[in-house]
Amino acid sequence: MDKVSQPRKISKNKGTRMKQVILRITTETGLHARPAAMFVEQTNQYSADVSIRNLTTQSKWVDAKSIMNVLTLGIEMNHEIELQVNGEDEQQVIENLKTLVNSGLGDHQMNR
Amino acid sequence: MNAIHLPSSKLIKGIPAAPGLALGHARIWSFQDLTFPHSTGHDPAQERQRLRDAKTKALIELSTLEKNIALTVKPGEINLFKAHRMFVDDVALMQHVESSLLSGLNSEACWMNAIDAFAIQLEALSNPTLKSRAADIRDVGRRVLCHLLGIPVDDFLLDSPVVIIASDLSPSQTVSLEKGKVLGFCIEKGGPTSHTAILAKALGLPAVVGLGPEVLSIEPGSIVWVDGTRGHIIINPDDQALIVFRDLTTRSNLRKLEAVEIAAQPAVTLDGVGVDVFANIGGLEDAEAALVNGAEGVGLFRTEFLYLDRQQLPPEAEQVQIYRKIFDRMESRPIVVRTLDIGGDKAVPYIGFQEEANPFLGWRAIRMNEGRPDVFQSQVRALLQAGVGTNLRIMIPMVSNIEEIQLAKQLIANARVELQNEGLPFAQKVQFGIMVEIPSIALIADRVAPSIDFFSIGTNDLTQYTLAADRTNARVAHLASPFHPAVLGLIQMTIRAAHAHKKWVGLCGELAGEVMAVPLLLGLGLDEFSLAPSLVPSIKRAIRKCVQTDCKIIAERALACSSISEVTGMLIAEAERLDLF
Repeated sequence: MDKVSQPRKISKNKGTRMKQVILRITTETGLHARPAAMFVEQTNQYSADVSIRNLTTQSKWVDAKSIMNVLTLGIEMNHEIELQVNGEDEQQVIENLKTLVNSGLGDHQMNR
Repeated sequence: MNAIHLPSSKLIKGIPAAPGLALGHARIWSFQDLTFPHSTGHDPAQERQRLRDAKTKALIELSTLEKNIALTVKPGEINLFKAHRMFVDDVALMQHVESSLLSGLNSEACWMNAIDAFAIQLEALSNPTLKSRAADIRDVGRRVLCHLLGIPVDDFLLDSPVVIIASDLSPSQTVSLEKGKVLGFCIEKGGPTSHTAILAKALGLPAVVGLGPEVLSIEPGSIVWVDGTRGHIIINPDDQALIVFRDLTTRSNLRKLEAVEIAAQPAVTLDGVGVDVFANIGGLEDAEAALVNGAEGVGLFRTEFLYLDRQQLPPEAEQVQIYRKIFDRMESRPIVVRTLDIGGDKAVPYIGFQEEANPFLGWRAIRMNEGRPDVFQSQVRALLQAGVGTNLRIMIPMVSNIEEIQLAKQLIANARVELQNEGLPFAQKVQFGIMVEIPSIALIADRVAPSIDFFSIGTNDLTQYTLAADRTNARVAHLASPFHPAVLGLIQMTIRAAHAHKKWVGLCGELAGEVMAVPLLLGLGLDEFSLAPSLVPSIKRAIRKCVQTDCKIIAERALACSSISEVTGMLIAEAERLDLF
């Protein structure tokens, strides 16, 4: 586990500008299996590279297209996540992920 | 309607773990550790292909499962099997696998090493929900490994509702359980507070644990009657017994409905003794559930969630805000807040825990006041501020001596002076109580009582500290029963000492939610029961059925017993006689 403070360079989308956003997780149970699956399902819809880190715990950056990685960030309710998107469809990716996270990742009304 | 002994059928006694009745076909669930080869010098291309084939098979299975349960899943929700499918094809996981494939390792070892690596990372997280996802990853790992080894996947996937018979259940086996497909649990090992018990309670399914190895020899497909209330199972009940079963079920369902209907009414015994029935909560959702189920207050508010997964202490303003939200919901009802109960078993980097051989006997909970009094003081400041206009009570956990009480009271007094000086409003009248979890404090309760307003007996810890048995260890969990006469003796000492000083006593362990314990606890003079919100109606109902003066005799008899089974046998019989189940 290397402590990297900068997003990992992921090959195929070099050269383009990069978009960044910070989002707060409002899902009561955090990004556990189902919300994380939903999130990763979204990131995999795009060609852009998406990196994510848990800003609240100052985690390392990981590939947001991997559900395993996203789960290991231990993202809980009220944590802030930082996303970096790099690729052609980056603006759309940011918008869609924002909407998805703000809508509670389909988990708002789930019981514990 | 006493226990049924019929020649054609067989009764096995165990430990009641989750109340209720069920009847269904037995499904034996055995789960063995898989062994797999581990060798080098393999052709990466060949191994890669083998893994690819195994993964494809696993994915097909998971899709089928997903389709099967599609109807039960809310639209827009991703079900667990879909998440499992994503694990199988995960980018980061496959990068890990690929690097070991290139070193010539066989595919089984490559795959399982990668699975292990991620599961271990998740297991290290402190959030229990996220942590339990490690079990999902291991499930997926196992599924693919079975295909690699060419052996059938020992799935927990069921096509018709069954009674599960197992040696023990791990969380990973229970996550894939679909509600509606399982009727009840019969478990060989385990104790009343094992996780099967907790899970079954959460699902509202009956469970009997500690049935012994005999239960595993049940013929698959046999009819099994599970009685989670009384703690026994009947294999192949005959026609006559089946009629009894139907009557009992109808009665029990009716009672549940009745109990819920009148849940809001007070719990008063037949001879007019009123006791408080409060709820244990860990957040706003539980507070809502407590109110819906007729809880008259909160007997235990666990505050650990505020402290987990952070880099520093939660800011005071944030604490105040969170507490206020919950206090507002409870209006003027009493709320007992337990201050931080955390130790070296949890990763809370900013507190400064050290590696300890025995975190549960270590520097934790109120003991942190020696070294880190600021943690307690900041929590108290937040509570006092949020508590304005409420019926707040502060309770400290893990107390073993009187000095800890004096120090905590001093810190609370300091917090008041500070708030006064800063001109901040704070709650004036706040009761102060202690948890009785360590036998030493029960044994000197008479000397401690003048310094406090109330005791709350935490029977889960009191039991494990008295009996030196870890309730999470399946091999000794059966020893950790709160019905041990020694534990009952400590409860009695505490209540007597409190009442002699006109102080009240609550009980907030699992024992407070056991119907069969109601006469015993009433007889001992308990003033307040605090339990999971969903259990409030049935405990209130049981209290309303009892006569306190009779309960005193039951309590005396229980205290005179010499073993756990003698106590539970007597209490079950009494509960039957009083028509509590």
